[in-house]
Amino acid sequence: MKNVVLLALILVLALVATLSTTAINALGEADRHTPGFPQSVEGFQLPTSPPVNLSDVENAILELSKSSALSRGDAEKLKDFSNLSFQEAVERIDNPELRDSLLNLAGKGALSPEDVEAFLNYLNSLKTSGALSPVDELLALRALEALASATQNPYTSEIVLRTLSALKGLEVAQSNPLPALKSPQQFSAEIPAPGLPSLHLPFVALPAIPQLRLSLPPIPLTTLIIIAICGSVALAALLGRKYARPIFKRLKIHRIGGAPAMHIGDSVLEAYWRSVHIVSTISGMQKADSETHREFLAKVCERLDPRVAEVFKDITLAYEVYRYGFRAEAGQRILSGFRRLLEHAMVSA
Amino acid sequence: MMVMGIFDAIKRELIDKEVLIEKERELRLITSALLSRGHVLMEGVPGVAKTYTSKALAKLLGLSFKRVQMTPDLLPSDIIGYYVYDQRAGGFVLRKGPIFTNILLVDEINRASPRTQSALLEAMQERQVTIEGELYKLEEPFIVIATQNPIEMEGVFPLPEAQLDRFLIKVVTGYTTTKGLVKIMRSADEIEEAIESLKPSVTREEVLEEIKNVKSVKVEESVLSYVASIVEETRKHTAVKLGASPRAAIALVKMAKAWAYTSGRDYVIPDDVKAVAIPVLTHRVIVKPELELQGVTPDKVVEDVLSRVPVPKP
Repeated sequence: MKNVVLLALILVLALVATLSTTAINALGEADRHTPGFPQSVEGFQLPTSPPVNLSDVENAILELSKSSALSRGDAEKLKDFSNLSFQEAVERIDNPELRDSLLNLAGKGALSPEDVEAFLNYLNSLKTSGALSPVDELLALRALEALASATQNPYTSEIVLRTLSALKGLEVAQSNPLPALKSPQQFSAEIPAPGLPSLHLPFVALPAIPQLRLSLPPIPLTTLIIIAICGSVALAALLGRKYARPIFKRLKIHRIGGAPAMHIGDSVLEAYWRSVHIVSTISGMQKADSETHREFLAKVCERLDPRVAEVFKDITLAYEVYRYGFRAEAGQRILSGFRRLLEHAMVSA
Repeated sequence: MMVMGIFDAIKRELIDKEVLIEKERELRLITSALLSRGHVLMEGVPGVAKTYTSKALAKLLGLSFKRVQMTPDLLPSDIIGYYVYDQRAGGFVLRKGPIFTNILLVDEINRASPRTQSALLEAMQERQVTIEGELYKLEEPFIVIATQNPIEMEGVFPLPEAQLDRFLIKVVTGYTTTKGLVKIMRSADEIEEAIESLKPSVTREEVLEEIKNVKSVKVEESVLSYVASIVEETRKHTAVKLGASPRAAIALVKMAKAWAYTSGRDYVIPDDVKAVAIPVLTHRVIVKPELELQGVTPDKVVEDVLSRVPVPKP
């Protein structure tokens, strides 16, 4: 029970905190928008980037080789770049591991988006570890593009974009022997080094991801009040129980002791009805007028301590014998049972 | 006082040995009716062991058992008996009808003509029959267990209220649970054999002794008042056209005494009254037709009455 209350409290507090933060953000930022700026994601459209293709890449390679930015060997390898087949591209790659990976990829048949993504990640890891030359990267991407085109993979355009970025990397690598690792986006925005011919690459800067602004409806004050009340109740149930127990105990003992005056005229019958009052107080279940003694016993026993229930069962059965069976000896059982019940009740209360 | 003798034997031989499955309540009610010298109307669809229950009870108690299948052309003499001329003896001799038995199972009582029904019910009430002006006492104990199908509407003669009142209780017996049904299917042949081979566990004299014992079960004054309040409340109930009669009150006390006895007590407690109130009262209460159409049944009326009448206090 305690754990459940604690969990409920945590959930309520977490909910309140989340909703409050979101509500404040939503309310606070709504006014800061530039007039006309879309406030919801539905009204926002991504800017379109210009289409790029392999011929752009090849033109760029030619420009690099004309300006002697590429060595003869590299230029030879990248010759006729846009018309390279998969096999040709693979054969020109120096890195044997990369070659094997590409051949394995080709052996798999149809290329799934996951395969392309995994391969691009693999290229990244090779590049980070310094085991991948820019030319090999370009050739690997060309080979991958050839594979992807054959299977009409949706990643084709991304591969071409990546090829362009790799070409930028090649340009910088030729001009700077110790290139810093930079993201393709940074390259696209960079100014070419002075003294070197600048490449006329198409603008491939990826659009910056817009900050999504969810326009939440304002939370009604009543909801916040209800949440606060729920939180307080849960807190009170968790912490207040410890302190409330002695108070309730005192109240319960007072109620047990202060049974309504009964003038039945028979102390034995009175003891039974006082017992009913005690178990009613303990269990919180009242005996209905139409309920028989056994029905009440069955109902109340579910809520009593087994020892108390046993004593009350004995009292009830003795009452029946005394009351309906006309056996006076059962009276003693009721009286002694009543005393035991009173003791148990005081202890358990 | 030998308490619970008959019901102990029934429980041991029929319930515990699973000769009759899920029929403890029915058996206890029929035993209580037998000990109260009353008759039983068993209502249930065909195939719910009404005949088996009666037959097994008769065999176990060492009592004679006969069965009559009621049909519209059945005559009162077919049940009571008649005189036939015996050429060898040169005079008329009595051929006793099936009513001369201890336990009489009357199957589909509502199929018999009103004339035959009333002849039977008169014999049930008087515990004697008159044939050709001669009076014949029926042997004790005598109990009629009549059955009727609740859903049959055609070719039946429903029992009039006055005659229904002659039955001490109406036992509604229904289908078993799935578990019970599986048990029945598993051992259908064994059950049949077990009923055929049942040996009497109680003698007729012991049954008579217990009938006498039940009469001496104590009923405290406040319990009688409780019974009176229940019966009166059925008459005052807004859904009721005809409530329970004083005969119903007597029947309720009789059954409560027998129920207390089969529970091992020689005194009645309010629980005994409540336990038998529905079997005793439902066939004696007539619900207003307009409310009957709305789904109010005598069972619901009695339950409502029981939930409102206060039990004796203190």
